[in-house]
Amino acid sequence: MTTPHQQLLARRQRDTDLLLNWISRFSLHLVIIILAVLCLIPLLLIVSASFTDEIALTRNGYQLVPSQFSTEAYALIFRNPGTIVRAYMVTIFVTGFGTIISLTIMSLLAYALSRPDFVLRKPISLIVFFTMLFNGGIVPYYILMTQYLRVQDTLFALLLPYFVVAYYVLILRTYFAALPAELIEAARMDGASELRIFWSIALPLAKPALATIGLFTALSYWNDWTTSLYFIRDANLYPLQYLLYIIQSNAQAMQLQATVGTINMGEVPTQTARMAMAVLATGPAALIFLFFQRYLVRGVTLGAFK
Amino acid sequence: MKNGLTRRGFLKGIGAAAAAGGMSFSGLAKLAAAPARRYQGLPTLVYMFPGGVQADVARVQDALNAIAAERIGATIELRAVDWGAYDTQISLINASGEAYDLAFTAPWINNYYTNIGQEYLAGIGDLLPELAPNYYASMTQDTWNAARVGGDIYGGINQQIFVKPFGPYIRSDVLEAIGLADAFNSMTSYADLEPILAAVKEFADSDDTLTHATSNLAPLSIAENWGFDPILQYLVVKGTDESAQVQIYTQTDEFAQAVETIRRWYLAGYAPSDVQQWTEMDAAWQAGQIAVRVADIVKPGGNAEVAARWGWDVTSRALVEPMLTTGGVIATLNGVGSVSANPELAVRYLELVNTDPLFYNTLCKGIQGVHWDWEDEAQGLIRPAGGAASFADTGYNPNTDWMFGNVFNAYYTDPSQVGAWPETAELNRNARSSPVLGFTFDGSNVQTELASISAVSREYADPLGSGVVEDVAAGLATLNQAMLDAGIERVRDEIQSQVDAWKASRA
Amino acid sequence: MTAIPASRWNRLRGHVFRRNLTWFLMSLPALAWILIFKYFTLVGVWVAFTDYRVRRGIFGSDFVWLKNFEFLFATDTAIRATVNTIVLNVLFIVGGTLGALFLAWLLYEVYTSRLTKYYQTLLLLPRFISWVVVGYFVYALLATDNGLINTTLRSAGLDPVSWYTSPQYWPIILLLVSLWSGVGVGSLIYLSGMLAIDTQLFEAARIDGANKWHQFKDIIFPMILPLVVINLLLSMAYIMNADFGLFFQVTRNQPLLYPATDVLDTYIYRSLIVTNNVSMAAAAQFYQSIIGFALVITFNWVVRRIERADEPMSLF
Repeated sequence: MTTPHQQLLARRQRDTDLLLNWISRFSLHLVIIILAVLCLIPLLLIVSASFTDEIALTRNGYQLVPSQFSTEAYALIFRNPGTIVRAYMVTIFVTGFGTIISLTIMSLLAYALSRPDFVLRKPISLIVFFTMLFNGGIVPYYILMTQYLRVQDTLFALLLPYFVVAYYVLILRTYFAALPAELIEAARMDGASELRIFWSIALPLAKPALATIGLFTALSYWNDWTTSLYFIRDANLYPLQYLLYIIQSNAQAMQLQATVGTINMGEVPTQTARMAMAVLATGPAALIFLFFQRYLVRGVTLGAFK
Repeated sequence: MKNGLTRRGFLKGIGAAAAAGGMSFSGLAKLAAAPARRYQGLPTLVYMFPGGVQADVARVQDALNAIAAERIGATIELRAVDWGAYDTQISLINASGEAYDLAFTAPWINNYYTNIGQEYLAGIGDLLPELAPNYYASMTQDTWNAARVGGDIYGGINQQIFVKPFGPYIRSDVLEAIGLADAFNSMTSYADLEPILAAVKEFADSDDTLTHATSNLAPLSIAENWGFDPILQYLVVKGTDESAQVQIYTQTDEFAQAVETIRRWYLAGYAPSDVQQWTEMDAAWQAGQIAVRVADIVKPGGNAEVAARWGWDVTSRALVEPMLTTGGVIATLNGVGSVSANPELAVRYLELVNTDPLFYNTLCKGIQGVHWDWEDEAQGLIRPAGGAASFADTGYNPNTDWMFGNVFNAYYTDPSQVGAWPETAELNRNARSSPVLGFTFDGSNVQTELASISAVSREYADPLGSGVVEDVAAGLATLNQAMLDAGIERVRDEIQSQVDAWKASRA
Repeated sequence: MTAIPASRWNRLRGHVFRRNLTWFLMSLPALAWILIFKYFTLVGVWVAFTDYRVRRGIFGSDFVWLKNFEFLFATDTAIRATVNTIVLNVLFIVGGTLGALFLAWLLYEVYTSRLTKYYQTLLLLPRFISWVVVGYFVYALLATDNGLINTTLRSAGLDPVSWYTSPQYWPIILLLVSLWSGVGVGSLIYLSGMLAIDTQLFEAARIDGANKWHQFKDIIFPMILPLVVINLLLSMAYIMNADFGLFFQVTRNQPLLYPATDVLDTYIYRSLIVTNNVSMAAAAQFYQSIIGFALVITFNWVVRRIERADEPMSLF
């Protein structure tokens, strides 16, 4: 039996622990909040700039609150609302389907490569890794896409390029390799096929990893504009980021024309319009990722192993 | 509930996107098939050029085809590629051997020389006199020779301003405020600009909006300002030097003088401390923060262009004697693709677009009554059709006359422009010819040197040009040493021997 | 395999072939893609060794040995670009890894909080902002005449700094910018590794009185070490490549900063922008790849020497 004094001491100890615990948690949150705010401020500046009058922006610079409120930039962009709505649909479609397909075939490969007794493990790993570094450059790639696969000016052109990313395969492989061997061994004893083990044991356990790599893949699809630059001439198939790129690069092209002594050219995208475009390209993505974040969270409960 | 909605909305979005993708795919196929049905049997010429796709392009294309079918027995397909994508896409199309008939080419976009070196463009020197006689006769032999590389011509020249009479532009309201209009209008050299800049700076210090006199001093170091014809950026021939001695520009007294002036002006605070980017200069001019462009091309109608573009009335004065150079002449070309199935028809098209004002203006401005109406037909002045506020609102406004053909045939869109074309033609005609007009350099033997020069010149010459180098003399010495190390003398000797051979062949 | 007793080994052996076949079939979709997209196009590498003329084809063009590589070594500027690339990349790799680990650990510690998903979303956002736009903000901070930092310095009675002509500050500035942009995404890999750790391990540690640092050092870090190693190995592959946008846009391509900021990608861009030489571009790419390849092979060999048999960390 403990004496009352000892009990009191223990309770005090517990209270101190709780307090310390609370303080440490609070300071952790504080550090993260500071970092998050650092990430947020530039975004707020972009949003604010996009709602600022063009000339006021040049004169007063970027401010957290618009020095002179104006929605002209958005009006300019939404003069052809069809363009931006279509660009959204293209981007969402490509990001959604692309991520699903790419995650599927990458995890199939990564799982196979993570098996220590797969005889082709090392050669295939090397084959995959090799592609991370060496490639034939843009011209053979262009010929392949346009003359053999004939996918220019289709959504396939936007989907195909990121199906397998060596880097992600090798990272996924490392996750799968960390799965407890005993679990898989037990399933085998029960007579489960390799595919079944992959589907009902490996995949659920690797959910945080899949969510992470899925997020990376989605980011590549969402942010990709180079593929469109090479293969898309039909303005109906422009994704969002390419639209943004076009708006920005049109301004640079004007610089080239200055060398000809000609400054006559259609409408010039303004600073604020570029900012508004950046907001439109980023904002919804942030919301979508917020929505998908729950898969990362859900992974926690399932992902506890070893 | 909330999540369910979001997810359903998301799925709907995907479905709609899929539908849109499919629709536009079939729509595209239809669009491509359309001209073939209407003018069955006639070959179609594909014309690639930089620019945004215009809403009414199909209609304009039909109007053009009505003329083209009758005049040259072909139809035309306009393929506009966004400015930012044109260089990339056309080079991929070229490199992969994809066919097109005509493409816009120049030394500054879709590089003309690369296209010739790689045999992307067809030689049309023999076809031009025969199939495009009027177009060919509209320019002198010297002019055509500028587009000649290795004996053949690879592109049709668009007539426009060929000379580069550089000089300063100043905002008229500021000029009036400082009361130096007479001084400005009687300037004879860039030295005369200095007191005006000083006055503008003084004015800017007391003005709320105006922050600096100018945003960019670098144009002052451009070789053309000092009477040189640049064969390459840093390899020049003096316009008055009939012996055509190739000089290294950064070693000339003129360059030294230019960068010293720039440094002095920079220290005097005529420009911002940090080198401005082009978009920033643009925005600053628009916002009324600067008042002077130290050196720009002063041309007929130029003031109106600047005013229309940036919203400030300007006054300008040319300080440099106009000179006809190879680079100026071939600033805008339309070439015939080397894998084109119909090079003859393509050359006939060049004749059509350069000599038929109706065809050309339909391509540039759209259809009469739909996109534009006469304001004053005698003067060739048009206004937007149907009461539209600007040409941008009419559904067809590529606004790149200089890209498509002879701008001297273009209708004026602003009263202040009227008369600019004959003036420009006069300027071209009266300009002195550079001693190396018509010479073009083949750099295939010095690729490594050209790459190195390109790299070091941007590192050491650009800061001198913007005035941020503290010790100009030391900076110049460093630059010239780096240029020597990069092999600029080998390039100079290579150019010189080609120039000498070229001169000998002409004598 | 070592731990499995002989009796079970025999039973398993019958399935070995079938299992391998399944794994091979699982690999096929991705392998087919790799074959088509990466290996068929590999002929393009040959371009680096030829005076490439499109009409003559890749193998019809003249073979010029290593001539296309000369511009990568011809001048001091070229050598400096190589050195800068390696130094800055090492800095970024070390800084990025430490930053990502730290952030992942922070997020892991507060993971049960409802706020976490908002934190994570915010931390990911910088990745969406293009370098051009980042360049605007860095300029808003560093502009000589009216940048935020110089304005602050002046009001504190200190001398303003001409940031865009002072190369010495830029390795740090670029590191900070690259951390800001990439660490949120980079931390995800480690965080998902940490989330896979059995929480019971921590219970035991807590009873032993281990503090947070000990928990990290003794439990978390060893568990995610394979991930850290593989990530470091893979970053080696890109040691000669630099993020063009970061070095071009954020520095505003200011020549006076080149001593610290000119890397291979910007040097190559600057060199070839005039001549647009396809063969030299291919040569540059090959040079970057072959160095990365050699480094990875070397470090992979080192890792294989020191890794434990039951916890493989090497690539192959």
